[in-house]
Amino acid sequence: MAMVLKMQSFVKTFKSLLKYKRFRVGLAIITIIAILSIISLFSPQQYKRWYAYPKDRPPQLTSLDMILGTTTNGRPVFWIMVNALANSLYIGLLTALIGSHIGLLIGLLAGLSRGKTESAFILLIDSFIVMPGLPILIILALALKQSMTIFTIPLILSIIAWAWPARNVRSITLSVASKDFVTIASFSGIKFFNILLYEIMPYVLGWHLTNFINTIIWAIGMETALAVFGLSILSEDTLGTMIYWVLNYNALFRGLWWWLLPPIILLISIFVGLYLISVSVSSYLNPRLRGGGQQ
Amino acid sequence: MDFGFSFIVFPRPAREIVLRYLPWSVGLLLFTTIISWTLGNILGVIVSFVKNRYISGALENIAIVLYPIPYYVFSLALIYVFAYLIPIFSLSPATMPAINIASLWDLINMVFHMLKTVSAPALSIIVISAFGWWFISSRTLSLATMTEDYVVYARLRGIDIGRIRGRYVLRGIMVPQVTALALALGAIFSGALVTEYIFAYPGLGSLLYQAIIIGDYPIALTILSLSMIGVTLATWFLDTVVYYLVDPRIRFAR
Repeated sequence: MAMVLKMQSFVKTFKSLLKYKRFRVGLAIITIIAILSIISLFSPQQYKRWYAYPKDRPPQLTSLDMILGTTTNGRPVFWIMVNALANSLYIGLLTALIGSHIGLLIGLLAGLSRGKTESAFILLIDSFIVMPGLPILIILALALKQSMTIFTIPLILSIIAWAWPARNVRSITLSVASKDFVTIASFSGIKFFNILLYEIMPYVLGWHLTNFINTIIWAIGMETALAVFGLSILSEDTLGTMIYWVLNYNALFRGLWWWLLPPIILLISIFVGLYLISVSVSSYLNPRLRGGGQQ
Repeated sequence: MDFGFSFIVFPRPAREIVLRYLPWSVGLLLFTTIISWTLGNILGVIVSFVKNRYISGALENIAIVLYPIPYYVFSLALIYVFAYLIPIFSLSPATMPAINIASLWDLINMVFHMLKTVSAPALSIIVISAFGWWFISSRTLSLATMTEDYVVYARLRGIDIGRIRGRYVLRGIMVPQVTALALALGAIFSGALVTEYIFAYPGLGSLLYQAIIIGDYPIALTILSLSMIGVTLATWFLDTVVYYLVDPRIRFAR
């Protein structure tokens, strides 16, 4: 019964989100991207080998392999692109799963603690926000270059990723915890953990969703930044390593625009699509923002 | 800070090499941050006063599309359009003249040269951060400020709209925006590092790339620790000194 009720409220929320034009546009973009990344399951075996195809060919409509041309290594850009997309989304999702949940936990604890513990939490969160993330990640990536796999990159990214969600969750927890019903609940003898779970969590969860989406955006962007410096896993295809090889082979100098454009267009559309969803979710959650901008 | 001798240019200390590249990065960052922050804030305030819904709506949509894009991805798109399709900028790396200032003429020459090399990477940073970050936040803040009692009262008193814009609304949103700048400085710096490398701008980003591919740990560590300390100090500076200048309540508190 509870499950059915939950499903119903989920469908209701989704339906009212669909009223936002931005949400519809974002959802359409992300659906296309998800379909493209699912196509990667059907990629042919030889796409990873070098020179399995003729090199530096412009796009031709003859077959799916050649539809976006080939690289200087004789690899089809289309199959690299869909696999890169799948891997980048994987990195983003895993980082968001780890990082934003650590942020949720620390934010809740920081918002509910008082006194010295609270100042310690604030100091920890704020110092991670203020420090530039990329240099720290570069040091870690330099040190762990040998053991870098597609599983460890999200772990490394999560070291930085939790700070912004934690800050956000803390401020929401603070505002909820000062409300009367929380005081009444604690005076009624409800346990701390139950207050956290049933009184405060429902208010935080919506913001947790936007934090989750924003962490995906941040993680994909950071992986790209690391890859541009050659510090990602260069043997795998991600959108970042695709850009790395484009820059490395001076593709634009030699006029191979079909190699450079797919990762750029895909990155921009992932960022824009996810951000549109996150903006519409946060304006759905915060009615004060709902009035100002148009939907 | 002494991290020993550089591997790229062996007998010379890493610090010396990094110090040679440092002014270029600091120049780029200072130039772009000041311009984009000022431009974005002023534009946001102006647009929030615009009655025409289509213009403000269109600008808001542009800002929302630009906001989530990192500088380095945008700069690649810029390179494709402005160096490949319409060749305005050159694809080849900028040359770095030795910085030795003997006379006033040398100084003018150097500044001119810096401005010429700075324009392409600066454009990508300014467009994204002015129209994305600062524009959105300043518009939201000034829409909220405009409904405050003191602004409504100023309007009723018949004060000139330009004066309300500048002295009442822009002044009011300055404090939260300085805080936002202090918090965003780390992200701005990280983005600028990659953008510098992509445009082959002779700053710390390009040096860092060289150091990483060759495995020159002294130089890489010097750059990374310098940047962390630098950004943290800049944040502290914004949070204390600029706050003090912007917010009279802090100035007259004691």
